[in-house]
Amino acid sequence: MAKDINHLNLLVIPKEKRPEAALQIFREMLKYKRSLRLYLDVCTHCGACAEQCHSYLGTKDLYNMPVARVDLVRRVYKKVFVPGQSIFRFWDGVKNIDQETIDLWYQYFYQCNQCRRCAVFCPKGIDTAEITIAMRELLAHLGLVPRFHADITKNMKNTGNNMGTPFPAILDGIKFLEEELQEEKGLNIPIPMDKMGAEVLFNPSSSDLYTNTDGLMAVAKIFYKAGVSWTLSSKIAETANFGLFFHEPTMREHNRKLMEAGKELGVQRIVAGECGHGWRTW
Amino acid sequence: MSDFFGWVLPYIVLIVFLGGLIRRVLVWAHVPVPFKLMMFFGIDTTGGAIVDLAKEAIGFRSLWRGKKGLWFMSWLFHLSLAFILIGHTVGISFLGQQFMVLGVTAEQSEGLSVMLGTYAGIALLIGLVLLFIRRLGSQKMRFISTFGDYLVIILLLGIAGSGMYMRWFDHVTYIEVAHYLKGILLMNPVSPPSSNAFLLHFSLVELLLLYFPSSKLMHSCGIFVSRWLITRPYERQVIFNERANLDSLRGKRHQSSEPTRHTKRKAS
Repeated sequence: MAKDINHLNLLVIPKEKRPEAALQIFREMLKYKRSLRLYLDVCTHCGACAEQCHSYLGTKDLYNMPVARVDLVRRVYKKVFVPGQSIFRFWDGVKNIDQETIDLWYQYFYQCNQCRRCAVFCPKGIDTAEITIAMRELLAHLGLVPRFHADITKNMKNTGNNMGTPFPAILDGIKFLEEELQEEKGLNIPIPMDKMGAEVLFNPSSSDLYTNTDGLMAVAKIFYKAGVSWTLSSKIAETANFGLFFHEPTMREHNRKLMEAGKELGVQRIVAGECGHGWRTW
Repeated sequence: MSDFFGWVLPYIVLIVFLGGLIRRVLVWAHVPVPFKLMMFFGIDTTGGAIVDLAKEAIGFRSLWRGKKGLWFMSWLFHLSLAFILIGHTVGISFLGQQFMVLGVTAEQSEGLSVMLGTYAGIALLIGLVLLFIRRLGSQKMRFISTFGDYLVIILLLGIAGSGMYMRWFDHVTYIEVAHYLKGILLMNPVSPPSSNAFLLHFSLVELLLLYFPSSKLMHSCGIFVSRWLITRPYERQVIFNERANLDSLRGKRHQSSEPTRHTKRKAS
């Protein structure tokens, strides 16, 4: 878990206060997410989702069945929030929220791939990814963010790209790609950076800049042939949005930054590269 | 004791059942949906989405796609349960004479009614027993089952069992039951039929209905709401829920880490 999450505007909540804080955040979430409340209410524990989840098939860990994963939340929900008498609640396998439950949340909600396959096979259409998204956000508010996610969002904030590449290095890489294009095609195909008044702001996927550079070169060729003026932005050089994985405000902040970059450059449209974690957040 | 189960409890049950049901549904309706959650592939029209919903609610298409065995058990159970609920309503209100519209005599109509009810009851019992065995049969299912899951099946088994017992060994006529239920509905209670099997049947139904609004049985209403979240007509645009925006997302927790500033540009 990451120690340094100040850049996310999140607080690290001390261990003994976590259960109480978690309940408070959970109560707020239930007020604005119909899906969360519904999915916790209507499950009948039929087990149709179990054999469809590759996390379960791969690990054979019983808590990785979508129904059991959501039951980690459901048992707290049934204890505290569900209407009904205490004897009825007791029948539904309730459990008080404690540090152990929060540890299980952290462990198992980061093993869900949010692929939504369970929603296809659940007769009630319960989408475990919705619960996963909500629970990861709850954990983020408790200060429990994986180091990988926290570091990458920090890079994005400091350098404008997920890898933390310094701006001169990106410029150098682009220059190299331009030379490659010159060698390959014999044409002067530009890869512009921060070009004011271009028509399109192209927002490439992370790999376009350092491993899968053929992608960026192909894009440059297409724009050259189509005669569209385009540009990259140094303010936000990559489209992969890591807020998607754990924290909605971070996700929005990323896209706000992108919009702002586009407005500053005066572009007419923003085009995303080949990156699902980028354009799916738009 | 029979007074309590026959006269007092029905009204408590009615209030708890209807009140609880409406309250749960209203809570769902009140909570906003901040983002659309449609599944691939999207359905373009409202009509198409409703047909899709009907396929799921009547044919259990998701289970058919995933697990044919579970589909058979639960479809058998739910279909026969639906038949029995319709049969109870129609049979008791028309006293078994409902098939006379098809041009048969009163005796034939009652016989037909009893016969159909018996077959549906047997199907219900088979479905329940299969589902119960399935729930007990594997470690995986026992892991995800709570006491409430077993309780519902046991209550339903008791209800179906006592119903079939009345069918075969301890006949209670439509007229007696209709008279008693009419008394309850018109706030003019009369004493219930004296059969013990009927009393057991009726009290178990009451217990089930008492448990209904706070249990997983709410999936009978919730399936339409929760499926509509993922099968509503597909539009390729982001629609932000105004109510969610105003009420909840303005909270401190939902502020992004840097405030949005457009000093150089005018709002477009």
